[in-house]
Amino acid sequence: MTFDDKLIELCKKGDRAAQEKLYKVYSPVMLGICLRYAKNRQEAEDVMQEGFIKVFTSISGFRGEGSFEGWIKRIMVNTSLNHYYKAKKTISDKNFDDIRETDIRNEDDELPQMRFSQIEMLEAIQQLPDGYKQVFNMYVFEKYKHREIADLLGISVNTSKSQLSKARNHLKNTLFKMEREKKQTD
Amino acid sequence: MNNEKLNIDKLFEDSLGDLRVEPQAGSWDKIVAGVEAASAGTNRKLWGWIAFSAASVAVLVYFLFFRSCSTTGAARNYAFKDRINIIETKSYVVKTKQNSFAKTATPKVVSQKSRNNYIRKNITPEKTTHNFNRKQTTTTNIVAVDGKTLGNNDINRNSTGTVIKHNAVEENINRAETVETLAKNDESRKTSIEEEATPAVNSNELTEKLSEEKSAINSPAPAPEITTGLEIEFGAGPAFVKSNIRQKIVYDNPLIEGVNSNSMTTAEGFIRVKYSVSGFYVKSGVGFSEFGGNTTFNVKTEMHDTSGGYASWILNRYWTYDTVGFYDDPMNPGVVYPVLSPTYHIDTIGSQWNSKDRLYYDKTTYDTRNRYRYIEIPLIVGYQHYFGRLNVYAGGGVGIGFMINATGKYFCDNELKDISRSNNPYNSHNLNYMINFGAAYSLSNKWNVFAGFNYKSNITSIIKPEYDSGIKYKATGFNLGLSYIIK
Repeated sequence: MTFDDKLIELCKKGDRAAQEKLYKVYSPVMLGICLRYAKNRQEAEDVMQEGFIKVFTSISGFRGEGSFEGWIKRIMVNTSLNHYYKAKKTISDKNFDDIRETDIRNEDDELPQMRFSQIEMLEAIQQLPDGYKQVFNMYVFEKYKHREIADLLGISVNTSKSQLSKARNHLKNTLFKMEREKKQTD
Repeated sequence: MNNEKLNIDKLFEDSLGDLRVEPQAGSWDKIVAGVEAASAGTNRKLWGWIAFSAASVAVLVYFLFFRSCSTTGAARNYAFKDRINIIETKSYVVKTKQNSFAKTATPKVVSQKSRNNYIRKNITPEKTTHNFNRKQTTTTNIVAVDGKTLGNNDINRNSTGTVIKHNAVEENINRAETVETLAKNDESRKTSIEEEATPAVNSNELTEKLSEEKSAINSPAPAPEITTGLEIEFGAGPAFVKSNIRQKIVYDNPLIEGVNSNSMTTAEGFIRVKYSVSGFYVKSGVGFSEFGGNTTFNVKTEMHDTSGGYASWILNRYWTYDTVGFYDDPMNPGVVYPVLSPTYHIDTIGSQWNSKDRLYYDKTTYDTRNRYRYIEIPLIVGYQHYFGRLNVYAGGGVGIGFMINATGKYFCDNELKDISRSNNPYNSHNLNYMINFGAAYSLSNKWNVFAGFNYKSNITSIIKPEYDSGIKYKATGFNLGLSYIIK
């Protein structure tokens, strides 16, 4: 029995110390995930807390199929998506298509040369419109296929693909913009 | 381009793929609070479901088990009386056997009434066995009749049950079934399940007991008290309708005024089903009701009397002057003045007849009986209390009325119009609250006579919004009727 297994067993019994231990082990990674989906730090904290509450209240349902970390990550991703759609109320392609194309300036086909910090990269993602952000995160970080994204978000596969493409352009432009600003300040 | 896509994906993945951020200090406490709140919520839900399930089971048990126990008192006594008549000449010895969980049982001689109870236990073993508390069961069979020991074959060994269940079984047996089954049992119980030494039976004692029971049974039956049950009520009576319409109304057209009588007498009737549960009851059904009033419309019509008149002429009056000579002025030699003679003329240019227009009003009176008739579906909940055969009840509820017919006149577009089904100022339905109270007297086990008061008032206006000026109707009715106890 691994450390995780012991921890999970104790958590299933409601052992508060074990739950805290599990929280301390996984919370930094989970907050990192939530930050990618949220608009800001506070929202990410709220989502992470909500996600951990779900983890502890439904841990008895974890059967050990697949990794525990993967299970928690899925909960965090789903909680992040739900958090967004609770505010939006409805999920439809329209939410994604509402994003104006004029917001995206395809300036250059090449990537910026400058290196960016984690915080800067995170800011670039957080600046993405919600639809782009969700598809980009799910595709790039969570390794979901377009079919899975489409199913989870209730959109078409084509919408998922187009959102990913637009997200990439948006991010690239954001990075170029950041690069220019940096050069100017230097 | 594809490479670029991969590059930007990789750029972000490499940078943020292992992003780790330490949560704020109070984050764990919030999670603990959230988990506890979620657990409490789950418990609340759980208890809610338990309570709901228990209530459902209770309702189910009630309807399946006790619902048929609709009467106490006379009906049950009559049934018992019939049973006694069938078996009154026989004496019985009953052996009671209990299992290892219960105390030792002893055979005993039972009275007629108890014997009937025992028989009833045995009559419906299939109804009773599966529900019984098996920790303490009682097997009861008749082992001797009129001093003769019965055989082993016919009596059902599985007829077991607790006293509580037996009572329920007893309640489930209706009168006809009991009589019939008892008659059969009298025949079938010639044999007994086991040999048993029959205790000595004092026939005088038994006869005494029987005669006591019989005399008690033959005494006048107490009035049936409906604890749960279904009745159908037929009632009718006069109703006095009042409205808050002003006594005198002058309409937009000043030539029309209405004088209203704010009250009228009409009739109402109903057929209702009444379901009683303990002291409470719910009634619903169909009723006929009528609102309305008597209005006198005084319509003035403007009239002109042109019978009188006068003729007039257009005259042209003028003078003409004729020269009748000349006058020489002596002071001014050579100057001559004409001498003129005037003539007055009156010429008639035209003439006309001028009639006199005397304005007067022709008053027409319409006495209208406006009646708006409804089929009414009430839902009344109330409480009733029994004083022997007398039952006093009071309740309240709502009723929705569907207009079936309307007659009379109404004022519209400066004129009086006849009310018809298609052309009227009234809503097709309206809602009333209603209060009723009264008393019922039990005539027999099946029939009651009742007298009651019904009061109802509009919740929603019966008049369409475009004509409504806040008019409300109230009706107080006095009803007499009969109710039939279905079960």
